[in-house]
Amino acid sequence: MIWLLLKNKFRAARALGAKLSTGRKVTAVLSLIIILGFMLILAVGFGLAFYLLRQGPAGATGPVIYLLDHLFFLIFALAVVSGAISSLNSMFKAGEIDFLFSLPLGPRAIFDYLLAQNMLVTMWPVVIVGLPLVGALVVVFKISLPVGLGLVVSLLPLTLTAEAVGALLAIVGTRVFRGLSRELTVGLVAVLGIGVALFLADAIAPARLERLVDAAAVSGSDFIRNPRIDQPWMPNYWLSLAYKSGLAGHPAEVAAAFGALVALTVLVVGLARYPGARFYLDAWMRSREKPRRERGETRRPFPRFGSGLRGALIERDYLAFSRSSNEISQAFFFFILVLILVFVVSRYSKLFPGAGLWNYRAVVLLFGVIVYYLAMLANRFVFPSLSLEGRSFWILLSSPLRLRELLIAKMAYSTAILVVLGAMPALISAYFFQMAPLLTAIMLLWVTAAGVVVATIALTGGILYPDFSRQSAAEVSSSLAGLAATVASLLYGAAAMALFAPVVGLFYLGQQGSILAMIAADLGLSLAIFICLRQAALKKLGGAFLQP
Amino acid sequence: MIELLNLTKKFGATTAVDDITLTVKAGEVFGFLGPNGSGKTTTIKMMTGLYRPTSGRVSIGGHDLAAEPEQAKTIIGYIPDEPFVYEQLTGWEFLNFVGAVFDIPKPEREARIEKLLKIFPTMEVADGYFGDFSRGTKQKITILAALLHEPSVLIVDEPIVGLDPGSVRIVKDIFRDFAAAGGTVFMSTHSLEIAESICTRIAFIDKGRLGGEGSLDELRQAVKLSEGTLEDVFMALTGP
Repeated sequence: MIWLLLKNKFRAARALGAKLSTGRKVTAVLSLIIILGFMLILAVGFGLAFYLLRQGPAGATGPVIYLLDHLFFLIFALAVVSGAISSLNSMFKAGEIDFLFSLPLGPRAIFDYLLAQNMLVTMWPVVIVGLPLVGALVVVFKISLPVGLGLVVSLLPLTLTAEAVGALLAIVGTRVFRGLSRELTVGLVAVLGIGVALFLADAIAPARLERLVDAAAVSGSDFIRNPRIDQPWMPNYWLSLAYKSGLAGHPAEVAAAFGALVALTVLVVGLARYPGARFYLDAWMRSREKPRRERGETRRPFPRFGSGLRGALIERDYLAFSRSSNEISQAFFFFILVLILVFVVSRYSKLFPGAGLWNYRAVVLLFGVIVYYLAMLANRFVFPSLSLEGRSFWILLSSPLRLRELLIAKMAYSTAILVVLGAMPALISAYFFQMAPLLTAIMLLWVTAAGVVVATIALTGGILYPDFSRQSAAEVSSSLAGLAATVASLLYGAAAMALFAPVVGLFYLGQQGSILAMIAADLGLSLAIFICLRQAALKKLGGAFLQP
Repeated sequence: MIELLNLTKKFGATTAVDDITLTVKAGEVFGFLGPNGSGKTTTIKMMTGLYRPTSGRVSIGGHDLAAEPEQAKTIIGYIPDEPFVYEQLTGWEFLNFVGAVFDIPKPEREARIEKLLKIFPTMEVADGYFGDFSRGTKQKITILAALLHEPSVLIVDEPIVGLDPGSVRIVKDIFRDFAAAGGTVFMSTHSLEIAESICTRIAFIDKGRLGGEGSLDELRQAVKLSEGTLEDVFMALTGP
């Protein structure tokens, strides 16, 4: 039965793909963009990983393992939070749940199906991140290809475990709190996210790091073991061990660590599945018994922000967003993710000699991370914004509203939000890396341009290829067109990064007079993309929506 | 006043609406009847700007919908067959939003909303979220939203689905009063009882083509029935 439901899901996705593909040429172009984009992402990822790995002393695997150790812990911890958020959506809010519970299926079967579905969705991004990393490890440390493939595969159990724990957290939270309200969900995500950040901050505090390095030197080991995050009951421990064995060229030990990881995964998934499936029906029922909003609550002025039509459009989208626990917690999660990343990268500078140069290089990498973060945000929140008008679009289409007003309103607040969300990690990076005020200002300029372009790409992509049949932003954003828009944003990010790197380099060399040309190039590129896409969106909004 | 001139809509090889010409005058409640899939909703969507006609034209209050969409839509109040609205907004916020889209100044908008909320006796739910409403309540608020900007033409697609009998009576009175005040009501419905009780003129559509048009008496004569209900006429015009 579970397989049947999953098979239907695949069929629906295929049918949607066929519906989206208005012609072979469109499909071919979209596919080409996606393939090229992914190849570029893999190549850039490989290049960065290769470059970073080569920075360490030749042959020394200790710092590399130390980095991977923390990376795996971070992936695991954040995948748990992400799994909890996605489970809240798929297990309690998705439109198909009512239908599933009306079928002659037990809650265990439904839970298993939804868990399997979430796991499948979570697996591929981990592989995408893991491939270039393992590729770089294979080249730098001359690992054999079979062992390299084994290392890629061994990433999967980590996410499966995290997804199962996340699903259990979502169910227990919903059951205990009788349906998680918006405030409670955001609060829980904040507590979990900040908890992870503080735990990690403590685990990689400079003083602790020095003690661990000394202890490793005394014992003659090149494996800097950090007991805070290296415990056998944590899946990241076994994954680290598999990678350590891989780097040392011991395939048998890789296989043993992988076996232990799989066993732990089976155990954790099994343990999480039992109470999860047992309490799912009850938690789902409770989530539907939330007290409804009662009469007499204060009627606030509408719109509160601005006035007239644009104010009303912005207020409507703001209310829809802020009243969705799933949407707001996803946004919050993204933000925590970047904060942790900036923090961790700043701490890693302690591991390498020549911290000054490292800081400059890291600033360029962090700009890439911020664009990646903005592209993910835009994919999840901006791309679906027109599609989510969905079956309510009749309200606007039958009114005298000009659709260009809708575009201008959406463009205005999407851009403003992305610029602010991009500027915050940029400023935090500037603080951690002690950047000069001028370089900080230049980075902010780059981030602002990126915010404008990424918002425009996502919005225009959503306008050119809307999907009004979906009510879930996650489903719209993971469509073929959503993927293509994200890849386009990342390609722009790569170009902007390529223009930013020389600026930082010139700044480091003290040749600040030559950076004006690069600034002009970045602004020119961004402006050209903005104008072209804005025109394309306006043209589409000129009336093509009237055609079903 | 509504004018449809040689209105046609094709979806690929399928012709959903085939060369319809109609005129509905001010003061009329016009019933638009037909079996499922006959082209009623497609016609209405072309009249409200949701679909673009393959050929022909729509004129509302003298404004060509293709050439002057803003002017035409300003005088239309549209009640769709499915009341899909923003789930996270309260009824009050939704009505305010619609008022803002129709450019009604804030103080006037709020005064009109308060007045409209008194039409249905149980409208305290205006402070609840749409996602929590029953279908009937959503339908009521959609009807109020269509009246908010004081249109001169009401285009209605299945107005009473999900409404309780008391609310149905109120809706019927709204349409009658609207037409009596000089407005035009164009209503698609499957409820022959409603059509018989409030429509001054009725048209039948079947397989995209108009099958008959006129008052109930004129339609009876057209199908050679000396007496009989609208149901008898309906079966004679659209039956096998």
